[in-house]
Amino acid sequence: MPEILQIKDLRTYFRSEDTIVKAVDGISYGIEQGETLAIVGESGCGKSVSALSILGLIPAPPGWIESGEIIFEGRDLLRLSDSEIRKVRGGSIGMVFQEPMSSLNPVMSIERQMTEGVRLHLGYTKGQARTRAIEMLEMVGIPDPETQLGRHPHHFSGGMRQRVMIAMALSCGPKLIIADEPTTALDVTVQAQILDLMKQLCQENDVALMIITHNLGVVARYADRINIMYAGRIIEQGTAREIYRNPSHPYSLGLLRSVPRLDGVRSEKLEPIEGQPPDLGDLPSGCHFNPRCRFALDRCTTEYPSIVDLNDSHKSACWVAEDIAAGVTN
Amino acid sequence: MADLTPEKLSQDAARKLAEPVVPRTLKTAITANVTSARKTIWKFSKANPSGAIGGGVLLVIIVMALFASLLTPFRFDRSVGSRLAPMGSEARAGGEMYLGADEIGRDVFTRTLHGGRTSLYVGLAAPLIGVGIGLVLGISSAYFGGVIDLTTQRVVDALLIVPGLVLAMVITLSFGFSLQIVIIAISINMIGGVSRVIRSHALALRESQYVEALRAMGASDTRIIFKHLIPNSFAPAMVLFAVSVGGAITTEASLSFLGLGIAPPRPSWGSMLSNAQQYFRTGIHIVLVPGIAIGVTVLAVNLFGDALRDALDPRLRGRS
Repeated sequence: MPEILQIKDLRTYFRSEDTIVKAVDGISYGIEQGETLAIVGESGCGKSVSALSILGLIPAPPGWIESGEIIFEGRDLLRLSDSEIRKVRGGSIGMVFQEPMSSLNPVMSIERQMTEGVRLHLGYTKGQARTRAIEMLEMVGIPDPETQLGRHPHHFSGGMRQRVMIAMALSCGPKLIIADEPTTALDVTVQAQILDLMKQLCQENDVALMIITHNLGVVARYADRINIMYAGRIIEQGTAREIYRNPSHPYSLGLLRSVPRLDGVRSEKLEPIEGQPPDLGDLPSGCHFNPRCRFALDRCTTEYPSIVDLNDSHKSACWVAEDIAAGVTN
Repeated sequence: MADLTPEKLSQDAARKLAEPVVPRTLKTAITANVTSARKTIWKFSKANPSGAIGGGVLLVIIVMALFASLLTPFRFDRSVGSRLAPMGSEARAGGEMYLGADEIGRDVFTRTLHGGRTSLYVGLAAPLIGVGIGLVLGISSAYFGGVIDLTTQRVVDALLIVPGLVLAMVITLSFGFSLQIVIIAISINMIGGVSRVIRSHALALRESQYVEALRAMGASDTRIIFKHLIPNSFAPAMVLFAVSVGGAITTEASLSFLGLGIAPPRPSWGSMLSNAQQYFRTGIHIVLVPGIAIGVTVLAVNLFGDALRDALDPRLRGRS
């Protein structure tokens, strides 16, 4: 499968008071057509910022993209003009946000909001756009779409609104959907429905899906590949199976152990990761994770680990990645 | 399951468009529109009775002002009766002066009708312009932020520092005493305050996620401002408008009083009130009539404005 999006050494910085916060500090990854990629990490690890950088939505000032390339359909998105990037946003890259309660304009009918995108990007007439909106609402499982079109966001529940957002994101026929914590604000029962729906629709239409989340449990069922981020960098990447079976970075291991498992021993205690995520304006020297790491060596406090290739798809930024993967250090 | 490709979609759309449309004659179209308008008005009145009364009163006042010359046999600039004649007295040439005569014998009823033309025009046009410009300015200022916000708000500061009446006087003195100039002078005074209030409202809107969602959808800044932020700021704008009407009418009165407003003998409620001040004891009616006219108009605009705001806000719709 060809990669539709390639990010190369992306760095997005923010100015805060008198320090420079390196929210995203040199990340590289790609997404293949039709696959589901999950980006996992704690709050403030740069996962949302990396997604916003793709669409050029970093609030500037105080933020800016220091360096890097974002290649999408053969073009570097960072070099596009304002009007060109606007065509990409919502056109070939759709986005679904975290808060379905506030992602829709409260004073505008669903119809007007849903038709805005296709009229803008595909040049549909009002009638065509309406037909399209009905079709899309049907597709995301909203009953009686014709009546719903005339309603306003406050008539909908959180899950319904998120369905509307998904319908909007898909309505222009994008190649990639970026979902920034799409289920965080929803009930647990609705979370699974929404994720199932997104996964199913993306598979059917051959759309790549990028799920940003802090919940490893959420992505286990849906992701093909997983990138784990810590303090602005990707510390481990691999297929979902590799990450779950053979986590090879102490942070990934910690994340997995802090989530309860159905197939584990019941009496097993959950192990939290001790300490706090670091201040991005004042990172510890060496490996950013070393103050919280159980396996830290002297070397970890002075030198940032180089990337270890465990195999073609599985990479880890840890000096002892192989040992951890093999379970030696357990 | 629907096909996502634009090609397939346009096929679908073409098929839909090819379906025969039920012919709608002009007559049925008009009837349908009239019925739906009647229904809308009925629904509005039922939900906001006080607003409907306000709207009705406003409509009557506007119609009376528009057809002023048909409603009265007298001219507004001629003395037709004795000085300060009380209500209901006879004019010299015959005919009843319902509201009496003013300090030089002109018919108060006639002057109130004609004055309504000036006052309503100024009282509605100036806030419309002032709130309109203030709305766009305040929202753009909040939305773009940074240097644009800073510059705009310093200009607004400058506007707010100068006393409104002085600024209006300078403008009419420099550009003339026509109705248009007076309206512009008054509306400029409103821009500062309005844009400041709207800006603080829009600052909250700017941070809302749907604005980010719109940007992620590829909407341009102009689109976000005009199609989304302005409709969302309608509620505070409506309140500001309703509040400004009374202010505009009285500012125009002050200008007229100082001889820097609309040139006499063309009456306005404000100038009638100013002229009447010295006759409190001898002819209270010439103070009361324009005063009540201003009061009733401002009240009607406020009631109607509030109801309109509620009716146009979908979040409040269908609750009361």
